[in-house]
Amino acid sequence: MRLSVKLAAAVLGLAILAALLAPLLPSAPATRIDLTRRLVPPVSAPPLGTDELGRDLFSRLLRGATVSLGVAGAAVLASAAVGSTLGLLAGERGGAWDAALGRLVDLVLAFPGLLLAVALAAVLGPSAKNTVIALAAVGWVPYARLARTEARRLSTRDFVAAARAAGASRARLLAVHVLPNVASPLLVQATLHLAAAVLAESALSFLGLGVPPPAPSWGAMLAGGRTHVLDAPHVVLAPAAAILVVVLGTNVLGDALVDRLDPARRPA
Amino acid sequence: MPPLRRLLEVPLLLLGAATVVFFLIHLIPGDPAAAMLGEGAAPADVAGLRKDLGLDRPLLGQYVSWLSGAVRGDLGSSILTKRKVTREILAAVPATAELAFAAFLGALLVAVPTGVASALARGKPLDGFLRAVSLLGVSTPNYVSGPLLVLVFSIGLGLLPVSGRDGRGALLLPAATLAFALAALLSRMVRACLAEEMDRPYVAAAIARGERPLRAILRHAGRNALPPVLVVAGLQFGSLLTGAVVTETIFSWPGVGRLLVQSIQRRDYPLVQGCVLFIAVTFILVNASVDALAAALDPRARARVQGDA
Repeated sequence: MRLSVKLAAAVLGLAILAALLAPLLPSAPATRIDLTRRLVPPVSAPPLGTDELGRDLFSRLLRGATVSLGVAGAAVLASAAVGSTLGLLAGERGGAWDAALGRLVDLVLAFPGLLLAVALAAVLGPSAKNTVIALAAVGWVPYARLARTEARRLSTRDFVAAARAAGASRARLLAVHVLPNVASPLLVQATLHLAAAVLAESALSFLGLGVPPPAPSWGAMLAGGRTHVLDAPHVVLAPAAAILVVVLGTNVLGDALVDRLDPARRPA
Repeated sequence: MPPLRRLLEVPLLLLGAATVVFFLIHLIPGDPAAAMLGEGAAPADVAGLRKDLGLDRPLLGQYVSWLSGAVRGDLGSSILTKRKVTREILAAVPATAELAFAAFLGALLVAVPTGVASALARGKPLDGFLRAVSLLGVSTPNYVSGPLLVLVFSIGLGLLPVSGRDGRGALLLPAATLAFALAALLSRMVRACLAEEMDRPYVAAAIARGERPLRAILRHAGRNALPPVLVVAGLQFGSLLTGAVVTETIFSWPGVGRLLVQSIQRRDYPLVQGCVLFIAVTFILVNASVDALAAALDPRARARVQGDA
């Protein structure tokens, strides 16, 4: 394994560990406001200093990992579940189901980038659940396309026909015989999607449409510190670095996964 | 999919987008009119707004009048300013267009040379360096690179305005923010497409015929690498043109994206609907044009269309 891949895996592992363990720590430092200790620079009492309301930046960064990675991870899982199910069904059934899915995909893709997620988050109101819904409403499309193409290709193969002839139900056919054959491209897609979902969650929070305060999310921390870039750049730099490291790590890992799972792209 | 069929699908997509945007307002939990006026609004005011927006009418009637209004360019009035939604949006279009063109031009000027250089130097240190920089570029979101640029150029060096559209050079920082990510993406795309075409036998054949290698690669491989790059660039241009929501917000750039965010914050839902519909329609039309253009430029796709006919 290349050094960059090992490094990326280590960084991502640390971030996920922080996200899982942060809720076990006392939550008070992350949300306790202390206006007498605003914008304290790093390397003093709290290791990363404090933000514009005097809250401990390191605690917020850890808690923010739970919020940002939690929402992004949930959005990835929801997208993968919905997208693969729809794609497998449409691919195996064909006909009107397939055509309907195609129309739906085209419709979602008619909205550029985050627009649909922004619009949904705006009307549903800011909350962790609604952010997941908004991100998944856009995120399921690539999974559906992958699953649909594979299901279409496999549905004519002998082993699928044999299972069908043996009386396997449609659910069993898709789950036991087709899904394992689509698993690796779906996994690659999920890895790359995690990076995109972290970015999207942060963008929504940055715009004030994500998880509402006082829960710290990396995007919201960035937005909050923005007016203090001059006197206290650390407030912006800390969440910015966290986002950057996680996204870079996920992208490097995803690229390595593509190279490993896709023989056509394996480096010569 | 053959381009002609894609063009025929455009009206269908426009109808679909208008339908989605119509239903947005009905996704608001509870009474949309009450949500727009906020807590503490008098019941009579809420009832009045509900009537103004037509929310007291049956859903089908609302839908039909929304569609017929949209076709005529009438998307209702802003709740806050009472001005027509269409007018509010059109006032924001020039700023968005200016930013989009500047960012796109900047990104192309960087992406094409670096992508070509990266492909030609495949496996060499230059390639590794350029790929690392572009990976950083695609991984850096606008809300990180934007404030960092402000930190360096406006606050550190005092060269450029922090925000707004009026100061001298105000366009530079928001355009650079957008161009950085876009240039990284396009540079990777140029490298990947050109590297793939470079290995084809027709390039070796051209070199064997005595053409200089660099010329053979750029002339023959370049032509075939262009269409996929163009499609991606066009898609990206579409999303730039439709309002870079985050970047416009960071720099208080008075375009369609910031208008959308502002109207969300003010719960001005007719204006929200108008912005979303305008952005989607522009995006659909730009994409359809790019598809047609890419097909016209690609010798292989041209052959396919004629084969279909």
